[in-house]
Amino acid sequence: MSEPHSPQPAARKVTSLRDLPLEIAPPRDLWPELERRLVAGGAGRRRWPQLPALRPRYFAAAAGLVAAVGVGILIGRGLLPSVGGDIATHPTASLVVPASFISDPRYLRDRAELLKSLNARLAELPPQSRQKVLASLATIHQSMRDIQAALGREPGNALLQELLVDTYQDEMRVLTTVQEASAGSGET
Amino acid sequence: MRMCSLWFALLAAGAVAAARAATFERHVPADPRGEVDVSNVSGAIDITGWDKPEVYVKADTRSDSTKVEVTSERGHVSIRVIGHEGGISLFGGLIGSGGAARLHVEVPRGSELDVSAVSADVTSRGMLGTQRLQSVSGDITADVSGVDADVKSVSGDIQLRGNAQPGHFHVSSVSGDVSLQNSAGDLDATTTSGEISADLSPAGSVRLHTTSGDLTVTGRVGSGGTVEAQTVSGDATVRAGAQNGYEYEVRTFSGDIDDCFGKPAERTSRYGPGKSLMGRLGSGGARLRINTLSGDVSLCDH
Repeated sequence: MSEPHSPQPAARKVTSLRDLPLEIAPPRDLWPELERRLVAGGAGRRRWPQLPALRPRYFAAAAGLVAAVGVGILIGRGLLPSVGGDIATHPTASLVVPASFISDPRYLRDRAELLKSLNARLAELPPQSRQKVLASLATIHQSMRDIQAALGREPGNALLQELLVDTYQDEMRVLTTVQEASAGSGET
Repeated sequence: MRMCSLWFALLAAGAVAAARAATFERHVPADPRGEVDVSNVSGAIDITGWDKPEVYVKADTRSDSTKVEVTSERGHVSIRVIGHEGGISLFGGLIGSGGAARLHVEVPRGSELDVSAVSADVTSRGMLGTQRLQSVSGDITADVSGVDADVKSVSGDIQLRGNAQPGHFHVSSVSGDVSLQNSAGDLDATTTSGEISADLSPAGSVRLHTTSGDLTVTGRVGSGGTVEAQTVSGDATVRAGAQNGYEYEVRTFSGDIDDCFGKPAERTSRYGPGKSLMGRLGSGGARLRINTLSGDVSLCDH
């Protein structure tokens, strides 16, 4: 017979992230209060502060912040490996999705190298296998996009995070398999 | 030339033979627990375990330019089909190129087997040693009763047949289907777009993963065993029981959950998608966990 788990927060021992609840509901429904405030705010709409009220040093700080972020982006683009850039001219470029959410430099480097040589490796496979690999990679990348889109709506969803990591691992497995299986490069 | 004289030669002595005939046969001495490597591009590789301390090779080649090379050295027998273009690398090893042959090989059943193929179908039966079988587009069929097996393909289907003797099985494919019948022990199977079907009897530690392929699990989970099944967009169907029951945890982001326990799935979020089903059958000695993004889940213990 089925015996559903009965949550006992006080006595429950948490040993891993999986033991944590997927959602913590507020003790009461917050929406009525939010709605009341929104309606009240709409009635007596808050005015934006007059420009003279803002001090020049705030503008200077904001400009400096924007400049720093811009410089950081430029530096980052120059230093970090560009996963998509190297294969932009390849026919398989449309298959590639950036490895968002993953920042391990070794993973990014290995992935970039595998993607860079993907076309050459695919060319060495039998045509039927090549088409199936391309279709599988397209499936993986569509899955990545789907999961990332869902994560955009629910960044804290543990299920989505786990699925995304596993999908990245699956992509690496396929790329590695193609690398290993490709024939011809070692002709003697 | 018959190879009877080699029976009395040292195992370290290598025997290299090349044939340009349409049919090739060779016997070489072999260690009962030695290593046997077989590689072939296209055609077939059919391997049978036997009780003799020798390896027998019969090859039907398609052209005179195809050679079959058999070497035996220090307990290591190597069988390679080589075309006129020479060898090529595959799965980290060197195999023939352009060669096409139907290989029938009999090896000591305790041998450690290492097989590589491109489009050749691979079959092994009666083996008791570790098997490492790899193919690009050829199908792989193997008896894996009580042995460890590492099986990999790109687009070929993989079918493993057990006899309820526990082993460790690692199976991987890109687009091929994976089928495991009557197998016990530990299983790690992954395919991107192929389907996985696992009949467990009983399972120890099982991990199944697909991206878009469907997952089907039947049979029994061992006491204390774990089954983890995960698919992104494929459907997962589990019809597995356990002697003392199991704890189950099913989660899906946008799929549906159906079970035969009379327990409805719960929403994981009041405002977004997501369902989960958790519970326990019996004392719950085993553990079952299923995750999907959009695939549907069907769970039952029979």
